Amino acid sequence: MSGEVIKKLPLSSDRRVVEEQAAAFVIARRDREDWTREEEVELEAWLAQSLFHRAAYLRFNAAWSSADRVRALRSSSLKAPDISRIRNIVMRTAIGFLLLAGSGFAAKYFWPVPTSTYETRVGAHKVLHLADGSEVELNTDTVLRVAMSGNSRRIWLDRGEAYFRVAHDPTRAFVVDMGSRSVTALGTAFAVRRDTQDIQVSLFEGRVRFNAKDEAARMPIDLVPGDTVTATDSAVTLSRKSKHDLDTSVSWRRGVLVFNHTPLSEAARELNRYNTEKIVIGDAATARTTIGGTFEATNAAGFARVAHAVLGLRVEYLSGETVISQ
Amino acid sequence: MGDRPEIGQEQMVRDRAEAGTPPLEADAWFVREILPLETSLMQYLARNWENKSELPDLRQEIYGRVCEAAQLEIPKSAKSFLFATARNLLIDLVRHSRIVQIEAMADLETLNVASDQPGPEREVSAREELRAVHAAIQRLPPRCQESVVLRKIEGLSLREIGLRMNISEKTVERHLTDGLRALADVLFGEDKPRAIP
Repeated sequence: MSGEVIKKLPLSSDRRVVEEQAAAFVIARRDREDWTREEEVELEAWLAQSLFHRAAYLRFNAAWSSADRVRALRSSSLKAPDISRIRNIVMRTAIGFLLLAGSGFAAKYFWPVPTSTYETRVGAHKVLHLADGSEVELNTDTVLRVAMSGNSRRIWLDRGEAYFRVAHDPTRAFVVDMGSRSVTALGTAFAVRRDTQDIQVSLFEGRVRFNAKDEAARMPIDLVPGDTVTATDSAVTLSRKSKHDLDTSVSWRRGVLVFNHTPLSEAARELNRYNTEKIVIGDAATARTTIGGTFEATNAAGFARVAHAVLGLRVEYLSGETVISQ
Repeated sequence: MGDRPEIGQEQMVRDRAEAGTPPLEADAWFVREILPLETSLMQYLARNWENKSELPDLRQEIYGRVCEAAQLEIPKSAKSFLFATARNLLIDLVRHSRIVQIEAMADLETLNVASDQPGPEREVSAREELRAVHAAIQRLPPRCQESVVLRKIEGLSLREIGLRMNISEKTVERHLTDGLRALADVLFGEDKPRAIP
């Protein structure tokens, strides 16, 4: 405020100075190997000085983490030249080894652990209480195997969808295996869905690590709450969902499906997961019509009634199928 | 003894904060709920503020105010709270300026935050994010770019980067700091990459 020639906005702090300091702190603290206790105290003091400091620090810290997370999907175009060829090979071999170890190689072949299998029928919903205090909710048409031992907690999701609330136990990682992909958790809540090829992992609380043993994503991806990883056989993508969308994605836990401007084709596909009497969409225009609302997952007939009453569509019941068309 | 020192604003914030939200929770809320709205916030500010070079200053002020509020109590709706804070700041600034810009004032008073709220939060796929970061890295000055690639993509330590580039560790840190500032704008603030100011 003192005698500046350039007219400045009457704001609480000088942005350039604050940003400069905040970014420098983030780099020093996270990337320097000799970050000292004194410096930590200095940072704490700086953060406590002003909430503008704090906000800027949080922003840069989050940005630096995001830059880490995209490394998980590094593309060949971003590789630095030379040097790291050998390093990469060494790393890959090391990672391969870790994955082998992580995939339960040792557990499976040297210390056999009894495995229990749990299944749900189409339309069913079941809650398992595991020995370690964790809870697993199985959605419709799901097959899952559990093996608990003194030093590991392993789940194989062979098919379907489940919501996990993991009891905290830092000495035993909780690993959910889905073929060539897996998720490792300590104490946390997350949902996993496995369709034929596609896998979706959504994190609600805590932290989990997504591992892939294939080319699509060699590096593990660490999820923070709100993140969803979607893996097809050729690509792995990471997206963020709002709290609301995240909750909606596991509305099956309450026995309902929530649609919001959802094309009928997609809504039918979802409902069909829960019902033996399948809904078939008769024509392309109907498939594109969108629908919104909350529907009982196992009540396909109710859904068809709404399509008829609200959208004015034709509903026909043919041998085991409900056909909706214009 | 002398006079009791006046309790400064920061002190008050701390005192109240002790009764309010645990700081880590407020921090996590800020990162989770507020930062993803930055693109919308910057668009909103750009629509309502003449001098574009001041937009980052406004953003900083708004973030500070939002953080302050969150220390007391986490606002129920991050989005409406953020935009209400932005609107209030703009009104304050217009009132404060010596030349009262009647027009700007009128606009702001009638501005309806609810109807001006952005649509659903953007969902950035990792690929889009990668592309944005990639583009941002490519726009960095060459030495700065090299440092960021070696650190973030190749995972070398500062010392290794210094040796490789034949510069001091301090200089590496400097490059990374510049790189981080540019990346933050791309990741949170904008859809299009731009050069560092």
